[in-house]
Amino acid sequence: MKKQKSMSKNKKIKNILSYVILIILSIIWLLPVFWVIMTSFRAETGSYTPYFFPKGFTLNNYLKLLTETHQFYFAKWFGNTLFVAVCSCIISTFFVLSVSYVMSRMRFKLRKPLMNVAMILGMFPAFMSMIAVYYILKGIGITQSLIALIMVYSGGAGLMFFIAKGFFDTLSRALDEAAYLDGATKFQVFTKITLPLSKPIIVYTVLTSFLTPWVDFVFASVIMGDNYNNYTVALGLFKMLEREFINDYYTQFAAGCVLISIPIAALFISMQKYYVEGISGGAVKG
Amino acid sequence: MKKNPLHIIKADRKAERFVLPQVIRNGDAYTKLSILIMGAANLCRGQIVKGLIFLAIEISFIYYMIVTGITSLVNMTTLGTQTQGWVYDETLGIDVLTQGDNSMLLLLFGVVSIVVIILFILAWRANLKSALEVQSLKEQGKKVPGFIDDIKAYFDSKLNRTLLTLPMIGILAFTVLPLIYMILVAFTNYDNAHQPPGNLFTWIGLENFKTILGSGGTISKTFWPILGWTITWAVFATGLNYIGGILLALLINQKGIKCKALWRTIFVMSIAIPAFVSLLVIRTMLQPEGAVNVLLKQLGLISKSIPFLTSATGAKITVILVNLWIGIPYTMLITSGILMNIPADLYEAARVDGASVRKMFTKITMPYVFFVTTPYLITQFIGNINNFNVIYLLTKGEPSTLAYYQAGKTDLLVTWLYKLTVNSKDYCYASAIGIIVFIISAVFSLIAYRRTSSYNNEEEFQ
Amino acid sequence: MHKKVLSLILVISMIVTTIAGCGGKGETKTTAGTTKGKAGYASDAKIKLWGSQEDQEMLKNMIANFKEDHPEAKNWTIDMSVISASDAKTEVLKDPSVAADVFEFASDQIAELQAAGALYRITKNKDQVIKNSVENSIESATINGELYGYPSTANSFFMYYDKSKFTEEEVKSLDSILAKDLENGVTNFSMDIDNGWYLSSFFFGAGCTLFGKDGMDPTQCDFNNDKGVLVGDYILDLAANPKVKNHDGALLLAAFKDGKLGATFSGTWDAKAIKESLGDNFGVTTVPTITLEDGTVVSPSTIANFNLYGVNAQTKYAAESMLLAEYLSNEKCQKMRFEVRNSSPTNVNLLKNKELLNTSPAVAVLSEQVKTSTNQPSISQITNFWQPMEAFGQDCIAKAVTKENMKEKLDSMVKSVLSKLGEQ
Repeated sequence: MKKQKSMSKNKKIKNILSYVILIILSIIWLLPVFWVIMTSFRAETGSYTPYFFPKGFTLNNYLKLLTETHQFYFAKWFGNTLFVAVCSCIISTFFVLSVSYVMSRMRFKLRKPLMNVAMILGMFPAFMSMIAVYYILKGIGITQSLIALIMVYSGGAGLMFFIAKGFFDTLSRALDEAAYLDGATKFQVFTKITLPLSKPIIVYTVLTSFLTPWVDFVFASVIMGDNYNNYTVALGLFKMLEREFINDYYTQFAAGCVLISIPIAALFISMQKYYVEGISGGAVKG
Repeated sequence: MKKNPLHIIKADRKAERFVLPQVIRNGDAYTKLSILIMGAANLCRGQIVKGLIFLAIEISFIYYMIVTGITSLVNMTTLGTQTQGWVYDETLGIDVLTQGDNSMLLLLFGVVSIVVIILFILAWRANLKSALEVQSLKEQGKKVPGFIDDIKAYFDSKLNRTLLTLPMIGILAFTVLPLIYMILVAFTNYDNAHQPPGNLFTWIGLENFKTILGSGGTISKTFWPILGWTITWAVFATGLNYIGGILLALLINQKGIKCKALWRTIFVMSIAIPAFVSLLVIRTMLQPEGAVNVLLKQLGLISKSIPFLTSATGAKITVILVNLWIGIPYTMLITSGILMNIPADLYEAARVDGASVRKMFTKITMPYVFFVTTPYLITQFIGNINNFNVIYLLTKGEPSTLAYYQAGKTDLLVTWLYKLTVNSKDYCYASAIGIIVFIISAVFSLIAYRRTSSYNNEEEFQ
Repeated sequence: MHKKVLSLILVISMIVTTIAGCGGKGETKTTAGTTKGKAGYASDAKIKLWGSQEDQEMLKNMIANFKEDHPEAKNWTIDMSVISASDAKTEVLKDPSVAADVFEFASDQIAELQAAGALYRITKNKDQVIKNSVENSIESATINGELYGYPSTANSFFMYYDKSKFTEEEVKSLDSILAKDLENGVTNFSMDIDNGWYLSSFFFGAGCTLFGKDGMDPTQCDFNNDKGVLVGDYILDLAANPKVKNHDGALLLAAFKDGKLGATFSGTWDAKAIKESLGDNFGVTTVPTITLEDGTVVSPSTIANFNLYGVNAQTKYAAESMLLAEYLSNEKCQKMRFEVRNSSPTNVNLLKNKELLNTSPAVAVLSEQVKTSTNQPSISQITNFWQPMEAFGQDCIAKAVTKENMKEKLDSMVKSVLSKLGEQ
């Protein structure tokens, strides 16, 4: 009896301890998020303040960011990025699913060699080749356009099939076999049976490829060059941190950060379940 | 799967790689004609569309080679001979430019030509195979499949080709082609002093690698320490993320903890927010006068700013810690599921044996999770070797040091080579470093992958 | 069926032509315009002009004026796109064939642009351009005796101070600034110590040179001579002084705003923000003197660079582009730049116009400061300069440098500055 009591007491202490740790960690995890949101509403400009909590709050940073076009075309760039993100994530998803399905379900002579080559290709630092990519786009005649960006972001997507392949590997093949017996073609099996079962991995692929255009500034700056109208938000935000602008624009930078994080974070958190299923089905089995 | 009707080829498995000898040995007149005129066999045997496609490929290829291909290849051997020049025009009162060769473009066009030639050879082989195939079908008196039948096959037994075509074109154009170009640059002297269009650069063989790997040179004195830090970083960043993630997952998944989803969501915030944003924000927060130091001072915890990013050791620790902020939730998500799958009787048995919690963690949990997640760990490790974002956005490689060339204490090889291309335009050295980084990652991961069970027993999982 | 085949062949041949186009010559032969009008100018020239985003409005007005002042340019098409002077080198060298015909660039980019063959040599009206511009701006635009750019604005740094904390007499010397005891929590003086742009002024002032006297010799740098060691010691003391802070742009603005800072080094770009913070106490002056350990008083010589207008070597309309570039850098346009953007002119007539200059105290001080400035070297070796200087500054702050090992550290810094990548 006494022993049981001490055990439950132990358990209680352990629980409290766990909660304390969790709360401390949560504070650390949320601090940057909290700070950037707070900064985006700060009335005083400048990137540093000698106090933690702003003295005044305002909505102006958001209003200015979205309406002023004197220096930065944020609203336009936001639209550009959204367009590029949507298009490139559709194409990427199609590429990734095609390749991973083939690699998982079909057997052909070049399969292993192709998988090895893909793994090797993924290991080169991508931006090394950006000048060559620029000239290839120029050869096709589409530099400085949003199409060019879409092609760059989704062109190599076929290489990112490992996780999706791992996911397909875990799907049972019994259904496929049954369908073949009914006379279905492989294409029908792919579109009618496998894809509907692959919601988690589709969500995962869509999410990861949707993200790229929002965060890339290396390729975007090489490809867009002097075409200011076709910039993306990442380029714009990066520009705001330059010496001439940082003091006037830091709070607007924070507002911009919040604005691009909201859709992505919302999408991510609502799709979390699928994301986890997709990645843990795929990543661990390579 | 349908049976492959290529009896002739099947009979001669050894020589399968080489289609040409088979055609010469077994082919009839039409098939042999296909060596020279692509698609001839298909055309003569009723596969009009297929034959015409092959023919069109050949004609386009010849046209391409005549128009630019041959010149491109010749130019690639020299990378240009004519330097840009100026002639003063008295009447205009200004110089007039005489165009010279642009080594960089000549190199790129050469690469394009080589890729086109390789693609053509593949098409040519396919043409011969197809010729043999129709010949064999004819000889057996079977029906030769028409164009519609072919299309059907491409959605069934040959579905792999259909699905792979577009992604492969993308990879070829945006990954492989630029990569070949980049690799070739490493063997030229395309550095700061040889910038086109005003200057030519040329082939210099392995010189760049000798300079980088040799001892005592300016660049090698930077290369080796940075390589050391890159590996240290990759080990710590991967290892700590991994262990931290598992611990966090265990913490949240404990029986007594309520609102598991809420806790998980809080930590997932750091994945959900684009790293580009969070890293730039954290960079500002960690400055000597940044929000974190200000907060700690206001709380009275410190009186002097903590040099998060300004001292070499501080910065190294900071980047690893900030990387934990991003990486731990990731591992937590992945391992949560795995932890729940660990057979409960394993723990039960251990408990009966009187094993402590710590012992159960090191003897049961870790080995189990480790076993399942090895491929993930390898990918993470390679990813960290090439982790451009965390370093570049957080520290830009700083703090600088007198001991390095164009690099700081927290620079990884990737960020260093980015600086070499952007700041000093030493493309040849950057490419050479890129190749070295690649060799390191490739060797490591090929060895590691081959040891994992999932690679060797791929079929068992299905 | 045949139609299908035909269209297939058509598509393939289209793809081939595109690939062939990609592999083609890529460049077009340069000819100076087609239809020649008066004075050898094409009447339908098409010129692309680069300028920063904040200059776009102003440039539009300048172009309108240009067309008015030059009737032969009435039908020219002048397209504008956004690339700032600091990004010009990167963008021009990335692909000169599509870069602007006329672009503004910072003078520290000139050697690399010229070496890559991207700049047009200026021959027309050369003497006039030289006569109109202040001497060191021409120096910065000259390589081997040839002019490659039209000087437009000058850029350097000077000192801002809070008039309520220091008198005009006190700010003449850094020693008197540091000697004063200000109220608690107020920093007497701050500068970006780990930044070669500011730090070099002490060395230059003491007579050290970077890349030889003319800044063109990549094998010369004597920051490690006896004078240099004294300067190094001074910097070390400065870094260790509790009345001094290491502030970069954003921090010094924050400090002025809170009234926590006495004086600092910065350039015209901060004038507006500091004026807002200090109001009537807003003070600007040239960089103060420093006194080295051996008692010599040194006037620091700040690094200066200039924004120049250049003409792309690949332009199809060379003469026309030069006309435009020259116009954009003339007295009229420089005056407009001064009024609209608070830029410091390089035109000698404008610099003589004290009445005009005094409408902007910061620019007036800057043009004074530039007289004793050292031109920022533009040879490509300069890319090696910033990083070692930054490292030296950081080592001084971290006390990794001491007076005992000063000579040694400066030696290794100089070695770093002069190092060549390919050397063994």
